[in-house]
Amino acid sequence: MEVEYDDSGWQGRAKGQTNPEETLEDNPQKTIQECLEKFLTPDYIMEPGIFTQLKRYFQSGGSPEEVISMLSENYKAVAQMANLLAEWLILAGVKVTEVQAMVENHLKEMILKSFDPKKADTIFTEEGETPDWLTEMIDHYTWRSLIYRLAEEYPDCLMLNFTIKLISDAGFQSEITSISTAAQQIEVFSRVLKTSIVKFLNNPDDVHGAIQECARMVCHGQHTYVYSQVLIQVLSQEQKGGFNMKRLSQEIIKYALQNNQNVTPITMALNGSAVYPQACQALTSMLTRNTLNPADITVLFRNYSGSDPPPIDLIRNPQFLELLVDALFRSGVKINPEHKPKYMFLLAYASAVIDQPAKKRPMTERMLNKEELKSTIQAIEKAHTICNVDQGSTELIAELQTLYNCIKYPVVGVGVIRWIENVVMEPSYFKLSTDSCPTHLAVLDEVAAVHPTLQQQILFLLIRLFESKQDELEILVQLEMKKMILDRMVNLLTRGCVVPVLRYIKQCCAIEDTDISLIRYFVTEVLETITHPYSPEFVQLFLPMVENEEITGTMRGEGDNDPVSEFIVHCKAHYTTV
Amino acid sequence: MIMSTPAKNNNGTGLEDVNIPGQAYLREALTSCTDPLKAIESFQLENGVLLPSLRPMLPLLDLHGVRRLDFHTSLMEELRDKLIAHINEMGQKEPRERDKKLKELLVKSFPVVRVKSLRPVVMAILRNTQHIDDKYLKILVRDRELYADTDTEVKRQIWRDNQSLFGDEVSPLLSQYIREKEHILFDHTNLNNLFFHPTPKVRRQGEVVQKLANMIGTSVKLYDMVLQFLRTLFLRTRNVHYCTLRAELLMALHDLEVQEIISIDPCHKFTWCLDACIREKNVDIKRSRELQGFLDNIKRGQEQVLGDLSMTLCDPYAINFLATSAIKILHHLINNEGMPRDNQILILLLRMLALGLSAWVMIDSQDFKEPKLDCQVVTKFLPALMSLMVDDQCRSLHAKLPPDERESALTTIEHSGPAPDAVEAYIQESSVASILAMYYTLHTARLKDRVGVLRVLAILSACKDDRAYEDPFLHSLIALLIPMSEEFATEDFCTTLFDEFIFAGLTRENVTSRHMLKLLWYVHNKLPAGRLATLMKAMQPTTAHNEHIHKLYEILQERIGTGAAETPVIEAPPMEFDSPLKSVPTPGPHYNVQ
Repeated sequence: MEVEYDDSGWQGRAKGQTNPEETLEDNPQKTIQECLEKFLTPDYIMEPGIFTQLKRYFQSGGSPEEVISMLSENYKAVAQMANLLAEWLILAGVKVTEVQAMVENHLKEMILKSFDPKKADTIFTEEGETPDWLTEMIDHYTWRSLIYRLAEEYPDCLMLNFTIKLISDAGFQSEITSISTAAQQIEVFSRVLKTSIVKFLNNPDDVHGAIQECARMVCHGQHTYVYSQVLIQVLSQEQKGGFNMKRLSQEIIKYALQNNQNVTPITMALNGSAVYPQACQALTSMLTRNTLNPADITVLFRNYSGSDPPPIDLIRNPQFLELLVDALFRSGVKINPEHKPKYMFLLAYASAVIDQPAKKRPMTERMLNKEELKSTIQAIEKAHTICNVDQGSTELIAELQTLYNCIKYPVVGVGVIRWIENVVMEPSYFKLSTDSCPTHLAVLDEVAAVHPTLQQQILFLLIRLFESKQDELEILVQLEMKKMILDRMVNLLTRGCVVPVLRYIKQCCAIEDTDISLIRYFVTEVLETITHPYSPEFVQLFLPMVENEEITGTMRGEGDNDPVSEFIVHCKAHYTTV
Repeated sequence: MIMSTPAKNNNGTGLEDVNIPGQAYLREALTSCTDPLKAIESFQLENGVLLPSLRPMLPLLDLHGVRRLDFHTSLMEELRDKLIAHINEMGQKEPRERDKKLKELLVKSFPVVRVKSLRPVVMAILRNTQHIDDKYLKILVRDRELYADTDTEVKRQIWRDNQSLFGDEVSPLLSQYIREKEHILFDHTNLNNLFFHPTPKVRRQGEVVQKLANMIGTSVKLYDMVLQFLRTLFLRTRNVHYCTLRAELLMALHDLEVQEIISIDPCHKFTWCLDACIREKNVDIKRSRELQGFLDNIKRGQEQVLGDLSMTLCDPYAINFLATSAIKILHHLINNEGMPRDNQILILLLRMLALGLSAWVMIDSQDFKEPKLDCQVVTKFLPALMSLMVDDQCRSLHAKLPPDERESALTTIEHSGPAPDAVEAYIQESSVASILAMYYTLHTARLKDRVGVLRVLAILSACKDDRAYEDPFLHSLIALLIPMSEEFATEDFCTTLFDEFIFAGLTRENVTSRHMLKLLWYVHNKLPAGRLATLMKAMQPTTAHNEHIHKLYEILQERIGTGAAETPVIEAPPMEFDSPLKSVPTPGPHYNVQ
């Protein structure tokens, strides 16, 4: 039978708009030959380029019968074979989603293998608008993760950066975990930074984690650091929440310092110290080296004790304050007696002087409140003297009352914690201690009582002690020591540091590293201390420990009269929604 | 658009049978469409990879010049590999659920078994299916290409009901096996890797044995078929190598712990015990009782087991072991002045020798009775052989004593004469006696006792059924005579060896074409010229010999440096001639058989 076809069909309508500048091929026969060679390859019917080749072929006078024959005879249906295999995989018991993932991952691997930034970037030269497929692509997590991965490897690729921007515009910026990727474009980086800051502001439970994440991103590169810190600096000027941003900025500086990145010049450029070149230079010198020296201290002392002192904010730099506290309260640090008063003055000044703008006066004229400066200096001096004498417990006990008076000043509280940390973390400390509660830890209890804002620091120190290796102690002595530390934690709990302590103990239960008898000891002490009403948060954290059979099984008696049973019954009655 | 009915088409993609559009469909679509570009676009959409999430990403692949064909092929290959791995995983699991799924998969996939790309999947399914429906097996048998691609595991199921097909696959292996054995026996350059050197365990690691074991798998039926092939071929050719293969195959299956077969083969334990004896070159009281137990306890109605046991014992390696052990025991009896009839192990060995040597007759006649061992072999032949052995030992001992002319003359007269008449008489009548005499000859040759060798060699041509001219024996004898090359210069040695032994077997092709040719290859320069010329003339291959023999003969002639046309001077006295090969060292003086 002779095949009949519509003559207008094959040579008629062309796909897409006709290019008026397009001319006929120079050598029609050669063109036909080239096209036929393509048509002969297996499954050419499936190639996206077939439309272009068909157009060339017919414009050169190619025969429809021939192309139909070639395309048909060389059709192998490889794609359909893949479909068939996928179907059989599902029939064999593999999950549909798993099979789909196999196919997607295969395409992913092929692209990773063949990716060439130059070829990818041709979309900007060859096509006028954003290709549709690029927009559709970002709807799929698989392809987005592929883009992230490629962007990591080819940071200069325009197409990838453009796609990252599209992804960010579409609202998926929280997925962009790679700072390299985000750092390529300011819009993308801005969104990711914003997400990170919002996370910091909204996560009181894991402030530390949020800070770390944000800092890691900000410190990725010099340009990201400058940009971010300028932004945060501006935000910190806001009346509401400005102090949070200031805190975040300081934590980022701290992170950079820990990673040996010299960000001091940027810090100094942003804090307005240029107006006071002497103070600026002195601070820069010490902060850059991360160490104090008498000459620069003298310069600062002279400036701040003068008639027109620089702003207090300059020396309220966490790094600088950290260095001062270390110098004055860490045992073993030697300071020239002639300069020591200067160190104390600066620490007291940063802590106690209040800088308040006066109403109805020019902005440049400020009122300094130095009422507490002198007494603060005296307290620092007394505490410093006590902390720097290498005393045994007996001598320390004689000085306790004086120390307790000094501890009322917050800056002394911070210093005392530093001092005690330095002493008790000494490997031999507990070997030499014979008290049921070492005097140094008793002082910590006092600081916790007087300064709630320092409780978190104290808890961190106690945790370090609790988890420290004390292998030189006999095993029973180790247990006693840990119980003593748990007592200190219970004390913190009674002083208001409830949730952090419970969260830590809960973590100990989960990890199962801690001897169960210690957990039992803690639960017992807490039950003896507390009484209702309880907050839902407290119950949520504490009840599982009390109900834990391993922990409290041996403590429950008949008739629900013991503290364990009473607590459980009470919670069951009043907190059923927990 | 009119869709054509899917038709079976040998030139199509092969997927039409599972209702996937193929070449005919495409041709029809392109021919009957009104808008070809739209038709192609539609075809691509419907016949591409059916996963919508791929669509946004494919243009990026296109941008990099990666063809769709390459992507499709690569994807298809990966999915295929994963599917095959999954099927193999299923094959290890609980039968009930597994079989159901495999059956479903087979129904779905078998229609496209002719598609080369998908065939490995179908084969994997079949390979993991315990009982394949006949309809599938029939198709695999009918199609040569499919059959060639079929895994052995599946072929086993085909072979079970198709003996001729199985035979076609086994036959080349059996031929290969025989060729390999004969190559060792006949290779004239081989003086190190002698026939009996490899241990049984080493032998059954051979390629053919392992392949046969693999083809059999755990199928008793296939095993029985192979055994029947071996019996038939042994019957037809009298080739004892088929007996060896039977034993090696059974022990290979034993090593693989194929309980399905070894637990029901009545020869298994016997063969296993014998194999251990051969390996250790020793049979102790315990094992001898085991072996005897098997022979004594054959149940009424199962006498045909004896046929298989006799084939196992007909294995040249078994014969070698039995005879060597018997000679060893005779030496022991001589030293302890014992009587052969009183040694139970010896009696058992002789009994097994008799059984093995009668294997062909038994299978040919289908008369499964253990042959009676002639008691006179024990009471008359063995004593005579032992007296021969004593003579040889006395002569050997005497050679170490200080010279004494008178005593020396007496000893020579008394201990150097022909073999006792009884020895010659019995080797004519008894195969067992023949084998023992033959193996004693090997013993004396190993000791390089020229007189001892000649005494027995002179009568070996009288062995029953020409057993002394069998390949394994000649192979060993030649290998032991070559190191005695100096003896070939003496007339009496040549007279006995060639005139009384070798020439008596001259009509047998293997003697002249193989073994004598190999012997001359090494000792030709020791032989008297006249003797050498006579031998070369006698060995001259005829048109009936194959090309290999002709070539070998010509090479030997060149090696000797004499032409066939040269006329031997029979009357002239032997004289020394200058030959360029005369000074070429031979391995003989340094060769150590041990």
